[in-house]
Amino acid sequence: MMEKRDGLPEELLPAIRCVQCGKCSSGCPVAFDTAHTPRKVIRLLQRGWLEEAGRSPFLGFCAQCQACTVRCPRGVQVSEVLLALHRLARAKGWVRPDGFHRSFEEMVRQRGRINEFRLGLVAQAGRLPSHPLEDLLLLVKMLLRGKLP
Amino acid sequence: MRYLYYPGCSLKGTARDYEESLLAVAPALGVELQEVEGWRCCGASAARAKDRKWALCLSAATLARTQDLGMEILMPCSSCYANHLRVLTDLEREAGLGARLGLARPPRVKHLLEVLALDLGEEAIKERVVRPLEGLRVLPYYGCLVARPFPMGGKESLENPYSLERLIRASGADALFYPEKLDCCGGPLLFAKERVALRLAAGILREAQRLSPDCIVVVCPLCHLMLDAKQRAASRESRGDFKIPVLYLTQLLGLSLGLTPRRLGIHRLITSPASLLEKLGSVGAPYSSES
Amino acid sequence: METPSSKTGLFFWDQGGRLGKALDLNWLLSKLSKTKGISCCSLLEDPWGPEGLSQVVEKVKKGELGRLLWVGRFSREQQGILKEKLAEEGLNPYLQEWCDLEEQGVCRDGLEQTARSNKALLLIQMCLARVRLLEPLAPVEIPASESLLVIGAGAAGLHAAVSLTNLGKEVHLVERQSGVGGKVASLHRFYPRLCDPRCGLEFSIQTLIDSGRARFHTLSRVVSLEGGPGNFQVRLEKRPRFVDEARCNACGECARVCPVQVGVSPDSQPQGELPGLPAAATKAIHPSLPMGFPMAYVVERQHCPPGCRECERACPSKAVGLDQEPREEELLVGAVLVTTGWDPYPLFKVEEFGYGLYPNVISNLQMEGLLGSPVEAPKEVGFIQCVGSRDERHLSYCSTVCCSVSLKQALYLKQRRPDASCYVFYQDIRSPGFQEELYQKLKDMEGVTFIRGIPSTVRPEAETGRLRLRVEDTLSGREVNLALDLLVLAGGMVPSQGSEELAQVLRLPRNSLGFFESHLQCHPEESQRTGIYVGGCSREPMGVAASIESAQHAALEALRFTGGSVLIDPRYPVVDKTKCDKCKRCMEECPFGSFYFDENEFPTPHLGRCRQCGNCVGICPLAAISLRNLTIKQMAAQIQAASASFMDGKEPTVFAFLCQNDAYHAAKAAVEEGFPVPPNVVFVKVPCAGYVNNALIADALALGIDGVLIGGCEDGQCHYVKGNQLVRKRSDDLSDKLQKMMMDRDRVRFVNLEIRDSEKYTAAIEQFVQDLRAMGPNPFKI
Repeated sequence: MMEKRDGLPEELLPAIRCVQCGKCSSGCPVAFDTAHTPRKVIRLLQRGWLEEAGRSPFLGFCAQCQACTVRCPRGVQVSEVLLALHRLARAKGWVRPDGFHRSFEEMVRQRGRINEFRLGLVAQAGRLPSHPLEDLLLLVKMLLRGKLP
Repeated sequence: MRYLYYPGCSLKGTARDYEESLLAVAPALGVELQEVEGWRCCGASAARAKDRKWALCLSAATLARTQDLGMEILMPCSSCYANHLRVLTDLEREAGLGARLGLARPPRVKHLLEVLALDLGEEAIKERVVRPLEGLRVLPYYGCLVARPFPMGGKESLENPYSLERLIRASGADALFYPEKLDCCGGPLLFAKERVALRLAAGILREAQRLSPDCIVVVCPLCHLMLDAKQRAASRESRGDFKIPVLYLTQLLGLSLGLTPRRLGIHRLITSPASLLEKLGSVGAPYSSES
Repeated sequence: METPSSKTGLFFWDQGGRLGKALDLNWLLSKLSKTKGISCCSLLEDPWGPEGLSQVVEKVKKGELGRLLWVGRFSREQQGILKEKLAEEGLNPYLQEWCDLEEQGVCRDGLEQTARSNKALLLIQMCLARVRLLEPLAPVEIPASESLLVIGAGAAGLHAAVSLTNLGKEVHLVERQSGVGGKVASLHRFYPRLCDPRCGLEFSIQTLIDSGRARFHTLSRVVSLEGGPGNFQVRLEKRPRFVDEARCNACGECARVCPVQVGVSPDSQPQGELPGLPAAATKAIHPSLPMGFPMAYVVERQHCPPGCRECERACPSKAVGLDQEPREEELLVGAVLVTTGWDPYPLFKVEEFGYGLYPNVISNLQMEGLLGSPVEAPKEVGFIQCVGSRDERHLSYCSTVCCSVSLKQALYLKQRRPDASCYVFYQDIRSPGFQEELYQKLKDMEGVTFIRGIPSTVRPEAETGRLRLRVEDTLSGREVNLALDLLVLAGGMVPSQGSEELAQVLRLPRNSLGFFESHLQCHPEESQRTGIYVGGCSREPMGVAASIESAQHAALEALRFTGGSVLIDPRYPVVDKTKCDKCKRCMEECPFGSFYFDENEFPTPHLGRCRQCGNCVGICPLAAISLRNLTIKQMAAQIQAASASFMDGKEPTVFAFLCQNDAYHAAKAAVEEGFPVPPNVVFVKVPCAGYVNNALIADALALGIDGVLIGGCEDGQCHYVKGNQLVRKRSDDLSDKLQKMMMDRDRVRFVNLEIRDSEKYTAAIEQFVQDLRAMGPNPFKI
């Protein structure tokens, strides 16, 4: 799907300023965990390939650490652009929010605050943690040390 | 010095040791804290990923609630701090946003680190230190959001901040040079991409281990969760063997101010601080488990 | 000069009969010959034939005609011929005027012949009104010194000085440091020949010494500059060297006994401790830096221990004088060359690369020092390009040399150590011209890797101190991890340290980036202060070759203000002191800082500094300033003459002031190219849109002209910096004035026109006329 550069939503327009120097990727802790680096996602946006950018596997890996934003020589707030793209992708249905995001939203809307323990439980529900033994031990320790309600 | 205090969700939950130590240290440093009544969640990273307007409203709610008090708000959590500061910078950039969010007189927001390092200053702290933590090798870890993209209200370096080191030195301890001090702990990815998150935490711990510190000091509950509570999992994930106590800055300062480990919530740490306490005990300061 | 006769001769030349076809020439001639003051009015058959001008020449010779108006199409060359020929007969060239009816469109516009003839008559009468007020003028001679001042004795300054002394000029070279040579002296090699730059510098120095016409003022700075081109009075402040230049022969005995070791950091020396590189240090008394010329040593007195006079005692030539005081010297020079060069951008500001934090992260300038030192070259070396350049948080511009510098350094490193590995991290390699060869050579070389991608962080390995770099190879999208022994940051250039102070002393405008301002395309070396020329990196980042070229060009320009005297065009501005209330607006707004206070504290233009743009004329709130050949009075008379209606009563009339550099040519071309320019407009040429005083505009409207149009340049293109913007700046004052007159603000319009904007000009006039029709006639119309 070809879209014109000018067809980008306003929040994504800063991508046009990018000169593809790669500094965002070079300093990104998760840049090479997927086939796409942040620079590449920005490039897709520059060319107007919005859906391909929105479906980029990289978006789910961004931890919003802001390292890209503060180093961009063109002043592009890369993490803001990626976040806006992520929002767009969710709105368009290109990606689905995970359990964590859904329960977070629900919890904030209902109570105004978060209960991390419950949030963690919900988010974890239905899938095996990577290190179940360690997590179980952690749970016990947290209980013992009064870190859980 | 008086501040409004915005604890954020973590300090009422898994990071209650952070709150305990903060509430113990503040009076000892002459800082008076008044908890914001009816504060709301800042939205963390999740709200911003859903809806910008919603995220703005969440943070703005607390700000609006306090705007008539004419006081600055202290935030111990880096994520809360960055979210609230983002609202304030958006207000400057977007005319009319203040009116829409009901923020006519937005209050100033400061991270705990900023209050201690800049408002209070290392000298004022040094004066109150009764148990200098001499010989203690402390590794300063900032994490992301206290330094980026708003490095303590623009008063710190984006790449080489030094406030934490200065405070560690004020406590009498040695602050180690730690090039990874701004690396991401992986916290926001813990639920969505657990293995990636653990890998990031492990990276920080591995570089830390090379410097053989007595402890790591952090200023964010999420960083603490990743480096302390998740340390074992991170060890396992990266085939490492980390055993590094991770303290909140307030816990470290509290020790130098003569407060007991228990009052500072040090007994709640997941990764055992025994080695650290032992070392401190050996310098001759009496540490009892009860005050 | 005596007041010339008011008897006016009016001569038509109808080349090709075009005027005769379009107009009733006989009617015009008979009408004009009856006009008061016209002594002679006739049609010339062939002014360029052998006898064509005899009638005119005869009358001028006899004194029957004191001033002339030529009607017809005379080229600029033909005008020159007429001026010259009649000057031989004693007619001052400034007493002639030309009226080109065709360029005003009378032969082409859609009017009837009668109406055309009427418009032609009006145009001629406008010119006559001016001709009556013309005054004879002659160039003014001002004295001009044979000396020039060159500020900054780096490569650019030295080479410019050589050119000037070769031409027999005296040159004063002022240098802030103890020795000459500047940045180039600290380079190891420079491309394209990869030769030692000191060779060229030595050559220049020798030539200057041989000429006997160069004086070196080291440890000096300019503290004041008075006067103007041809005659600048310069005051220098000279710091003491504490060594007598005439006696010292650099034997070095003094340094041997000096007890103080000081760390000097001429820019090339790596700071801190680079593995294997001895810390740069010298004694408190040491040879001149960056080059040992002047030969005399210099004492850094601030490092001397109290009471120590070891060097003084040790000196066999009695050259050391530790009690020397700073002194001042006054110079008289005709022109000033500023070649103050550049400084490296402070790389510690680019925090992500750890410059200043890690000893093996160095700048490209420090790399020059390392390559020139005997230490073993490191094996794995990275070069990061554009550090702090093309970066909106640092320098927005490209410094143009850093790519080639890294290429050159990589090449040299490989020559020194064939097993070395070089990695160049870049976003674009800019190697224009012949420098491309260097790039291709390096690309083909084994052990040199170009990676299109810029790293973000540098991390030291705790155990080895080597640097870990991670970068995206943006061409493949892959991660690259490297461990390097040395990282060279290709930093850019900023104006040299002293340029801010110098800008104040010389009152020299700088651009937003801190470089000295000039008209970069047309007069790149001409600063905004006449007689002061800016060369080399003081005006824009450039390489050594380009900066020498630039400085030599500056020298060429500067020559015009030397050589005994300078002739000043007599069309300069004069202030009417009976009107002036000393508000100083002219002083503040003159783009070239030409005005000074005369003995009675009236602002007075300095003839040498002035560029005769007439912006002061426009600025003056009391219309008290006139250009001598385009006075406010002359212009007012033309406006008055134009106010007689030349159009059908209902049709609006437009009076246009057109900048003679751009807008006028657009208007002229519009007619020639056959665009339908409405006949409603008559125009006059002005030297710059900024000439147009609000009083003239108000005059035109008060006399019943329906609309006034000002045609100036596009923003940022004005040859006089900002004339067009000044007009608009004054438009608020004008609005007040018009409001008092109950006049519609829209009757005055400003148009930006480039020289080829004939279509735009036509459209603007069409639109204006249409809008004026809608507004209805000027209420002041009789």
